[in-house]
Amino acid sequence: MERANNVEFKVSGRYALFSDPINRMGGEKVSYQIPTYQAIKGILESIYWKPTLIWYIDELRVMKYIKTQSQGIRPINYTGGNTLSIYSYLTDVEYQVKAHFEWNYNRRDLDKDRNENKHFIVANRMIEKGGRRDIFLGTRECQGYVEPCTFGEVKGDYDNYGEISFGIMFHGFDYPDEAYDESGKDKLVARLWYPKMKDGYIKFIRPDKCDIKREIKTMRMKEFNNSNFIGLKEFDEGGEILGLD
Amino acid sequence: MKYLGWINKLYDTYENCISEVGKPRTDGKTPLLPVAHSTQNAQIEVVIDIKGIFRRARILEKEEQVTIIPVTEDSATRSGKYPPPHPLCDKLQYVAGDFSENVEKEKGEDFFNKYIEQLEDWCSSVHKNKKVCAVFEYLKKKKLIKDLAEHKVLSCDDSGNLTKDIKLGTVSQIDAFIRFRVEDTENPSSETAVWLDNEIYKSYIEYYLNKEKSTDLCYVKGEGIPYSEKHPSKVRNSGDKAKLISANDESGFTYRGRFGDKKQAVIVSYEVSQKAHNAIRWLIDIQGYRFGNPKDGEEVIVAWGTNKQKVPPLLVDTDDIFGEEEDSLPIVSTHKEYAQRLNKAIAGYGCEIDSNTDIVIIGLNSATTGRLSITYYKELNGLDFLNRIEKWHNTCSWRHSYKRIQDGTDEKGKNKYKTIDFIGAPAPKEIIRIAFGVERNERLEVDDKLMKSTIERLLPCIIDGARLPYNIVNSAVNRASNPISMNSFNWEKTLSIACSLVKKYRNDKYEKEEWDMALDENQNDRSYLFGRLLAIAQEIESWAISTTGEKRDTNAERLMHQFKLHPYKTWGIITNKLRPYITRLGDKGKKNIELMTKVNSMIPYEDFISSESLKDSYILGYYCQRQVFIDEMNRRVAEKKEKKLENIN
Repeated sequence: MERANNVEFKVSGRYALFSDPINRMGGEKVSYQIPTYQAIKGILESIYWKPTLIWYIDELRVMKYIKTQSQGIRPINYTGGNTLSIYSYLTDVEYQVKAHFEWNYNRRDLDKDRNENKHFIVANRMIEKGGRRDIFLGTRECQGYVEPCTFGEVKGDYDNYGEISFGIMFHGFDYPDEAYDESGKDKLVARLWYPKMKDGYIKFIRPDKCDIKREIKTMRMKEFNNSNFIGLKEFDEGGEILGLD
Repeated sequence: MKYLGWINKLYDTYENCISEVGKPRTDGKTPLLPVAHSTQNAQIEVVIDIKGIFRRARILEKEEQVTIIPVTEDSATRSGKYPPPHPLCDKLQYVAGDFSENVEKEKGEDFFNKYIEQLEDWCSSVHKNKKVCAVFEYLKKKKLIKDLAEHKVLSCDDSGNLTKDIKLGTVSQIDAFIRFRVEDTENPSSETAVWLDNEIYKSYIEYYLNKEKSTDLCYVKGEGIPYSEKHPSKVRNSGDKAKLISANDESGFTYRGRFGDKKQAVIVSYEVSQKAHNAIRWLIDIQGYRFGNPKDGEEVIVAWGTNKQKVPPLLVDTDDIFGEEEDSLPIVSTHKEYAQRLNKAIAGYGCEIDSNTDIVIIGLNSATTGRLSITYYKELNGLDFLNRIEKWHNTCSWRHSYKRIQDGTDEKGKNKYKTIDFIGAPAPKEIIRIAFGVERNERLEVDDKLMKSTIERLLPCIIDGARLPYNIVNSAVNRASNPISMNSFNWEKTLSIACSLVKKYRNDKYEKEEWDMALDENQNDRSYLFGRLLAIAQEIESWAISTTGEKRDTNAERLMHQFKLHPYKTWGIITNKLRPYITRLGDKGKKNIELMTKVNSMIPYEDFISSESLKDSYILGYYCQRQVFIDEMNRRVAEKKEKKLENIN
């Protein structure tokens, strides 16, 4: 990497649901007070992502007071019929996000696609467009909206609020295609951490720095080949964008 | 500041309240339960000695049935065809080795064998307890039913079989639950009840936690410790099947998808789960508020300090907050005095609650029978909490005279009630009753579902300082504008609570205190003045009616709702109809006529004839003016009484 490749954006929505896994398992979802690393990473992947790169979320800023609201929900069962639940959502949320990408060296087949300028420019263009795919805050029913922003600007509700330390929380999953060393090969691993929010800012620790981990199951990394992907040829020739060095 | 989430907070609360574990309470409620214990209602108590020899037995009264019993993970949630046995106290079927001989068509042996095997394991472990071993020694003899029948505790038919149709309270004697007392002649002072013995608790917990249990990463403690696959139910009440932590959807995709089974989704350790659940049960039992029907999705709300601090009651009227400090204080008459007293009452909690105190408020409800949801959750620092409670009572205060409290008993031993006046905020329940209630048998009643959902909407107003939902205010004002739709007691109550709500709503909207309970002679608000006029018209008419001893609604009462919508037009109708009454009163009514003219002249002409309907503040003007007349009348009555006394003396 020659540059930092930082991107910054704002994401907001009327509702958000970053489920606490303890309640999530039974179906009565209760939102955490703050987004998980994985949820924000998912939003950024919806904005722009290629298997060539891995997004790293550096920092998050909570712009509005944390408010919750519970709602009666009628979830549809997979086999038909319905059940009834009560979900607790966060309401009226707005976050500023700062993130960057690094190459995914597990994808050797895509090493010709490692053109940081290309990916950086496209990612920023996609942020301006509000994302490539639909954006949602934690769960599908919480539609979110992405806009460019300058991280740290504009007044936030938590400015000078002091520090809030949270209990143990889910951080994210280590998927096998993003394993950072041999120990994560062919496994799905859950990471936990103890977040802190200072004046509205939450500095995420890097996935490889999380020391509370739990191996969940074995999982294989997805192979891209001619049977499931027609774009392979594009990566033969370096994928240069003309007019840029 | 720390924000930990519900399960962590409950766990901390348990750790802070460890001295309460198993300690019998003076109020008859269940104490905080030890880990790996639950409660059951027992019907029969069997007393043995330390050598395991039967002494006596008796049938228990309803009020002494609650028994703390050790449980295993499987037995605590037992169900199905062959429910696993509890470790110590259990039903006849399990503890009586001669059950199958004495009960027709009942298979008992398997149950007993499993039970006794399990008990033997405990009694042969290093954590064994002398008294538990005595129970084991006795039950091994398989003669419990014989002994109980001999002592006439159980009844048999002619062929020596237990009869099914004899009931002990609500359960058949065959299904009776047995608890034990062990009398140790060498230590006569020691606790005989096995369900109250701290030593036995300890013995069981150590035995149980040291049994083979697999460990995994607990998502609450962040350590690899023995985990639980089944989490307790009975959170809100003993018949509650809903669970806070459940994973019963093996076929659908509630947690499956990325995860194959429930163990992959999340792990909560046995210890954390036990402590958190025991803490929430205990808290709900001692200080929870319940709404709705326990059999049909009961909403439970509880607020507590994580260090056993006494918190001000959350969902009551101000009188109940005062009532905690001293009884029968003289009613205060001004808002200022009221504010001082409220401040004092809240400060009373301040000695235990400060900015380092953690206050947690949780609301629980279930949409289906099997799962419990968290409908409201908040962690607050103690000072914030007190300030918000105080603010609610301060901004929502008005003068009420609907409250009935118990006042001794009559000669038949029935409770007598008297109505008291108080200044303060109404209880949330009463707000909902007057806003949405239907009058049935002289009382305002609200459907359970509506009560629960509205309580949830009012909670943030009390705890977060959120604005009142306007539809509640609006509905209250509309009902107060319709006096002939309900009896006078209910209407008075509706009126004063509506005033509370209007005052609070406007206070929050404009962020200033603008209305007082006393009549404001200088208030120029159009609606307020119109409200005063209405009260004056009503006073004139009702006075005139009462001089001839008639009893009926006044025109002002009948036309009140119309008046709110079309003040100018309706006022014309009301004044026309007033004429005969004014004549009837003659000189007596002069003062009120003058007042009417004066108030009328305070409204500018174009405001007066405008077709705009009245704002909610008209109800405040109406109330205050009406209260002036009521107070005057009360004074006259009191003076007359005094004069009479003087004449007698």
